[in-house]
Amino acid sequence: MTGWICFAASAVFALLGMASFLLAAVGVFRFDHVLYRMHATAIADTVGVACLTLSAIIYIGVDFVSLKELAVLAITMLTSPVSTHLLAEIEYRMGNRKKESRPIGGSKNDA
Amino acid sequence: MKLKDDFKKWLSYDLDLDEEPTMPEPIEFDDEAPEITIWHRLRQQGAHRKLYYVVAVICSAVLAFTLILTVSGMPRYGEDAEFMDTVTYEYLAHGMEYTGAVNIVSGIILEYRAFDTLGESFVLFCAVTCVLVLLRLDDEADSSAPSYHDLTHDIVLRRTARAIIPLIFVFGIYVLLNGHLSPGGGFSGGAVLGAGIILLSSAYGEEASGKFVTERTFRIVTTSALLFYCVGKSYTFYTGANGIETFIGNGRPGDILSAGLILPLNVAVGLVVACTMYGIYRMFKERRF
Repeated sequence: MTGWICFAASAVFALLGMASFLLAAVGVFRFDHVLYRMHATAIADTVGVACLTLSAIIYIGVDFVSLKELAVLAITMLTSPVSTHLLAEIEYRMGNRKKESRPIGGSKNDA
Repeated sequence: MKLKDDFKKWLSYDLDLDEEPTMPEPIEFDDEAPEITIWHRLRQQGAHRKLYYVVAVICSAVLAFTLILTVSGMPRYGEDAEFMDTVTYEYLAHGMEYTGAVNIVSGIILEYRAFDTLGESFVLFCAVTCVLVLLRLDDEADSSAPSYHDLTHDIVLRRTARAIIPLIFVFGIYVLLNGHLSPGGGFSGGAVLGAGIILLSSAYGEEASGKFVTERTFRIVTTSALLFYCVGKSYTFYTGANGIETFIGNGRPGDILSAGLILPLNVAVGLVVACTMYGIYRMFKERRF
C-alpha cells in the first residue's frame, strides 16, 4: 500500500515538473522580451528541477542515492535563482528596455 | 557597512538600481529596420555563396549518414563485442593490475595514453597564451572605464557566494585527489576549482581572487606543472621501455596513495586547467590579468 502511495506521489511530482518545463518552453517561444522570457525559464530552473528531483527521491526512498539527490536539490535551489537574478540585473543595467525583440521563429504578425 | 545598508534598502524596496552615474548611455536600437530573413539574404548573395550552402548541407548529410551507418553496425548492448575492439578488453582485464588505478579511465588517460593528455594540457596552455596575446591591453590603458558586468556590489551574489564557495573548493579538491579511485580526475576537478575561483572573482572582486591566482602564480604554477608532467612521464616511459626498476610502485589499488604517478599527474593537470579557466575569464573580462 505504501509502495503505491509513494509511486503516486512521485508520479504527481514528475508530472508537475514536466508541466513546468513545458510552461517554460512555451513561455520562451511566446513572450517577446528578454525579461519575460527569463521569467518563464526561471520556472523550469526552480520549480521544475525541484519537482523532478523530489519525485526521484520519493521513488528511490531513503537511500544514499536520495541523500545525494537532496544535495543536488539544495545546490540547485541555491545557485540557479542567483544566476537568473544576475542575468536579469545585467539586462536591466544595459538599459535595453525599449526594444521589443520578436519571438523566435515567428513573424511580425505573431507578436 | 555599506553592504548592510544596501541590504536593508533592498529589503524595503528603496535600493535605487538606477543609481549608476558613470554608466554610459543605453544603446538605442532601430525598431523600424526591415526584417531580414535567410531567404532575402540568399537572394542577394552571389552564386558561390549559394554553392557554399549546398555543399555544407551535402557534407552534413554524408557525415550523418556515415555515423549512423557505423553505429548501426555496432553490436547491441550486452552482446559480446570482442571482435570490435581487443584493446578495450586488454584495458579492462589488466588495467588495474598494470596501472594500479581503480578508475580505469584515469589509468588509460594518464598511463596508457599519457602523451595524449600531455598534449591536451599544452593545448590549454596555448589557448591561454593566444588569448593573452590577442586581448592584452597596455598598462597605460584606461582601466577605470565603467563595466556593465561588474557584479561585486550585488548583495544576493555575495551572500550566496559566501555560502557556496567553500563547498565548491572542497568538492574540486576531492575530485582532483580521488581521480584514480572514483570518477573524476584532473580535468573535471580543475574545472570545478576554476569555476570556484571565477565565482569568487565575480562576487568579491580581484582582491579576493588575487589571493589564489595572480599573473605571477599563474606563470609559476602552469609552467612547473607542465614541466613536472614532462619529466615524470619521460622517466616512467624510459624505465618502462628499457625494463629498469623504478622506485615508483603501484601500491595497493584502492589506497589514496597508490597508482604510481597518476595522483601527482592528476594534480598537475588540474592546476593547469583551473589556472587556464580563470586566466581566460580574466582576460576576456578585464583585458589584463
